[in-house]
Amino acid sequence: MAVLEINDLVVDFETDQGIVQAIDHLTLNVREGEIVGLVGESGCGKTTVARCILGVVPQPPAHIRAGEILFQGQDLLRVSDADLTTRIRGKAITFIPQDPLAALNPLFPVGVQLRDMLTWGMRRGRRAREIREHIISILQQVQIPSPAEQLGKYPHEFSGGQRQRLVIAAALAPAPTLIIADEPTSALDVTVQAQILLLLKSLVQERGTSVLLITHDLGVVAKLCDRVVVMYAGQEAEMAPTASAFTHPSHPYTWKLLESLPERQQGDIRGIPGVVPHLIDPPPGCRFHTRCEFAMPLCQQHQPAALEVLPDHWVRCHLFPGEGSYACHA
Amino acid sequence: MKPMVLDTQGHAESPARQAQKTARLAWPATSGWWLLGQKILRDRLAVVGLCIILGLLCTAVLAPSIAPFPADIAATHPAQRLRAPSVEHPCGTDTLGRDIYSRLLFGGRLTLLISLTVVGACIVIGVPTGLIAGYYENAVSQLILRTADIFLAVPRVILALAMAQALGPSLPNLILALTVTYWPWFTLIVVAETRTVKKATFVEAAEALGVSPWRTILCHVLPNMLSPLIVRSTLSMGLTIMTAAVLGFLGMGAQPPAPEWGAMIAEARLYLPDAWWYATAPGLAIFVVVMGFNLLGDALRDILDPRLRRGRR
Repeated sequence: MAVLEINDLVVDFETDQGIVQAIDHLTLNVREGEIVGLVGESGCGKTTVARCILGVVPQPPAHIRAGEILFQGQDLLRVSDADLTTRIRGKAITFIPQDPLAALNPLFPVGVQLRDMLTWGMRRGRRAREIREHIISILQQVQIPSPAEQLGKYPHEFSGGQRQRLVIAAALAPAPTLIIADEPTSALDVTVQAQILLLLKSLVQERGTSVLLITHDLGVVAKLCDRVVVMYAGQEAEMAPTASAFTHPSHPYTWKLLESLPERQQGDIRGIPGVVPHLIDPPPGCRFHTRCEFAMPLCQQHQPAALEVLPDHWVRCHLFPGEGSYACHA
Repeated sequence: MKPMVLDTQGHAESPARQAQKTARLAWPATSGWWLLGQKILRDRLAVVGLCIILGLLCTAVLAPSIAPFPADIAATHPAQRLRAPSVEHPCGTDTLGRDIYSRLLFGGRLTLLISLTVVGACIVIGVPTGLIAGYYENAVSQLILRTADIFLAVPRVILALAMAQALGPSLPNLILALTVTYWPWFTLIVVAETRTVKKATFVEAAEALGVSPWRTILCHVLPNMLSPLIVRSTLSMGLTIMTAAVLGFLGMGAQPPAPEWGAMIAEARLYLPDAWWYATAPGLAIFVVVMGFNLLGDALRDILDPRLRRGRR
């Protein structure tokens, strides 16, 4: 069963230069106990998706035009703000931010911050000692040494890796159903990255928590994720089980992404020619046709619909003509 | 044989030094105030500034008991007019025969009263307006910012002069004029800091958890801007003393016989250069006190905002 299901989500941003179509008919899902990687170039809308799920997109300038975000069958776009804060945000869905230093208030001891985060908004607080023990046990699980002594310390007294562990602890503490991790290790160096990601994986697998992992690192996806969603210019290009996506990449954009990995090729490093299209005036038809070497006249006119080319492996590309292929969103 | 402990330079450490280190570790090294104090004490110029300010505070409090002629604020002794500095009158006497040293000590009270009141009032006005204007982006914040712009567009001394003139020269009016012309600086600093802190993930997280805006502002935004606020307040003390002296010199502040330093210089200028001590004493007092606040303010800025650290050794 899908914990999170995003259907045909459309999000615009109103800017001085015009309307930016940040998310354009995005469809994806995260099933129970699954780690789903959301990959794509910078500016393709990954973080906007995360913010939409958490209901923290500032409106205006953003406008959610259409679509639904179903969390355990409940449309988050139609849940009242009070409900969102008391039951869902920070309780059932938690968030691991990119920069752990900016996420921790430098003026409060970490123990206080974890406690406040856990108890805030609760009508009847649990007993202080119970909460303290819970926090200590979580810190132990994220492998912070002698956690009871660390509660009184300030964020600047921890190393970058430890801060990221603290933030992961904060995300795990409320026992959420879904964790959204927005490039959780981009602020860390490579050796620590691997440790933290594997720790995160083992912790969520123990609990059966689902994770939507936003990243631009295909290596991380290969190592960690059960499924992967490749995003391009606000749309999902391909959604597939990780193994299937790496062995049978079907969307030309996915091929190009995999080709541009330095370790997968001999000789020159190959990038993808061109740049991500400006989303104020996106190309008609398939968004990728301007950079695609297989572009056909059809690609410039119609947006391809998603098609299941392999079991559970969905692609949005005219190279796979199916009956849904001519259904046009535009 | 005892194991030798080498410090970073490779020298062997004496047991006394080790003990000292352990003792230092026993302190709660996490306390920000304690760290701040320690860093100030390590900065020679900051210590000088701090001593000057503490000296000013002490003389202000103790003025009635340490001044040799406390009555000389108002009394006149025409027989002793314009005496050069001597053992009896360390700074000489003025045109009415009053002991300048005693008047200086009492003048310190006025100086402190003016600068503390003005800076305090500026904080009281500037911080809330700055927090509101920085945190919200609505008509009220625009109103605050544009009002501040209007005040900033007029030179401070001229506006204060005009105000003091219009309201009549007196000490309360001087304080009022200085406050009215100075609060926008605090507002602008607080606005800039608020906008920076507001972008931090922890503020967004607090909002996302449903913490009320007021609580967010008071518990998360305000404490994170204390450093620039402390620095600005300290430097403002010096600036305010200076401006108050200028206005006093021009006759807009405390009226005679009040021993205001600026007014004392104004009286003394008629007797220069013969009675050199008459203007020198209050001039030096202003110079030293302003320098004290500036030294401490500069050091605080270097300590609290390492990004702005200049080559100051």
